[in-house]
Amino acid sequence: MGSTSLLRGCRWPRMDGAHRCEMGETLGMETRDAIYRGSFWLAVALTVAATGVGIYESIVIQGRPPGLEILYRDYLVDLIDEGKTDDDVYERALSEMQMVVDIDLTQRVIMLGSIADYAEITGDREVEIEALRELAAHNEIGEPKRYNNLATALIDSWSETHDANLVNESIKYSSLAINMFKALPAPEKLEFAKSHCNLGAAYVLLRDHRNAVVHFQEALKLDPTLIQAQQGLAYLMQGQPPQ
Amino acid sequence: MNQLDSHNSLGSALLGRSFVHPLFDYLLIGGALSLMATVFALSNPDYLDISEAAAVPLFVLLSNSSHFAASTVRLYTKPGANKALPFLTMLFPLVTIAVVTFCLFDPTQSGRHINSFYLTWSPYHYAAQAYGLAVMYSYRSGCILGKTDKRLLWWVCMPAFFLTFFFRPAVGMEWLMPDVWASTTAGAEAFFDATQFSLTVLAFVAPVALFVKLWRSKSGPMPVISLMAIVSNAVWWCVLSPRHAFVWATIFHGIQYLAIVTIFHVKDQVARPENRRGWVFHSISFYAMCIALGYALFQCVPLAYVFAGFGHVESMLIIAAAINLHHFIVDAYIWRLKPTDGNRKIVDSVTQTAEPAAAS
Repeated sequence: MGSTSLLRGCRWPRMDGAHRCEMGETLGMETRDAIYRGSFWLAVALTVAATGVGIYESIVIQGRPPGLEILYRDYLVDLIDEGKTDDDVYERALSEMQMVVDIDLTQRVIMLGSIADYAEITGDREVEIEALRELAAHNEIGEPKRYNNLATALIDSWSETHDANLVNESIKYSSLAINMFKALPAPEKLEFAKSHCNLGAAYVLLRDHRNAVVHFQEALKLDPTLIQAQQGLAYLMQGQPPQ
Repeated sequence: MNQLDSHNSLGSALLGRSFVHPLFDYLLIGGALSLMATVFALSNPDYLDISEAAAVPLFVLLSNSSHFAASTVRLYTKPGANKALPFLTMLFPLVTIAVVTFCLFDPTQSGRHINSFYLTWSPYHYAAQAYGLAVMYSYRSGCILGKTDKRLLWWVCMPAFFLTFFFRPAVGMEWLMPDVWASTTAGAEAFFDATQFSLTVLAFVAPVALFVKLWRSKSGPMPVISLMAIVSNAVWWCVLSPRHAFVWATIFHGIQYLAIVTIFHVKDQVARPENRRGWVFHSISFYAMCIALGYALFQCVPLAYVFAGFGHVESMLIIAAAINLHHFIVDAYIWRLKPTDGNRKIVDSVTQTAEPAAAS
């Protein structure tokens, strides 16, 4: 009976209630059908137009109709590549990668890792720290190497801000990396050494020289060629400042 | 002689009545092909991660994208669907476009939810398809499923979905209440591990148990293809890792769907009084329409939104999510097997390979 409401305001010749209702329903059905038909053809027109515009857009940008791409994958790979040499494209690539993180929860961890790696390559410490911090906050870092990267980036960041919190945070992540390495059956020695070295460097900044020496020595046990650990130890033993 | 006859009839009851040919039905619709591919990939882990393979985008278009389009093509070619489903056929497409556009204006909130919604619904949709196929082949093969049996059949298809809903990252509970769920699972890890294990076992044991129950009941044995459709779905979601499950299930579900929908389309078309074409024409033209629509929807339409100023990533993701949801909803209506529905005539029809062949 809701369809009779469509007739509100119409003037009808004298009719009994039942007849009026029947006509009203017929007219209501007709109106409904017209709306349905109209919306169907509008949807068809929009889809056809969108397909045409999509093909046009692809030809303008790539010089060819849309290729076969699984979602955004190829587009993002190209953008990331181009962004390594072009700052504007780099910003766009980061914002698109962040969009994946925000929308597609199944890709969130992978994409945050990619953002961190990308920022590390391009030297964007702030972005790298932010991405790795987000992974660490949800216990999603996955591999100790990423904790190392975060610890290193935090120490690097300290040199600009002299914020002691960054050093404490770096110690936390280096310790987590060490714990993860210890749990591995065959940890990668160079990365394991790097965790100790980061920890040594952080203790130097906190002026805790005893702990710093212990960790630099641990690092050199794992990798005797690690220059940062050699320099750190030399600084602590002989007062030679690290480079 | 009687014993031989009863062996033969048991054999044919177990084999079931195929739509095309037992080999075709078992391989593509029953999921035998996917089971073989999964066993091969599990024993050669290098082949498990196929997402980077060069041929995958083409394969995705031919199976996955076109299967999404197939439900739409079927909706508009199924006799009587326009009259029976006016909202779905006429208004729903515009509603879908409106939802897409709305989500694109708010991608990080609405976009995220529509995406997670479709990812959560997907395993249910696959489980429901396994259920639908099992019922369809049972009806067709003379296995009379009572109300209780049907209900049991539905439940035995669901463990794979529950496993994904409760325990897979980024979907289901982890999407609906991430913080609460994370703290709950962390507090009762042993209990949740045991539940996961139980669901995995249940996904395989329950269908077999029901199969045996039906065999011993009055209804007679359920055809093996019904069991296989349920088990192959369980293999995708319970054996493979979540990442691999989405890729493999997507491809093989697409193949399964395309095979069965093409059969129904062809049978409907050749049964039209005015039909002059054979099954080959109807199969090819249907598949060609599905590929063309799949290409337009997944590859072209998102770029129109890019042209309109929206980002590439959000356009791709949100449109894919909306196409999925549209497909799930359309499927809920076009596969009905009520005695009055045209589908039921096809399921109940006796003629197998001869019918389309004769029509050609």
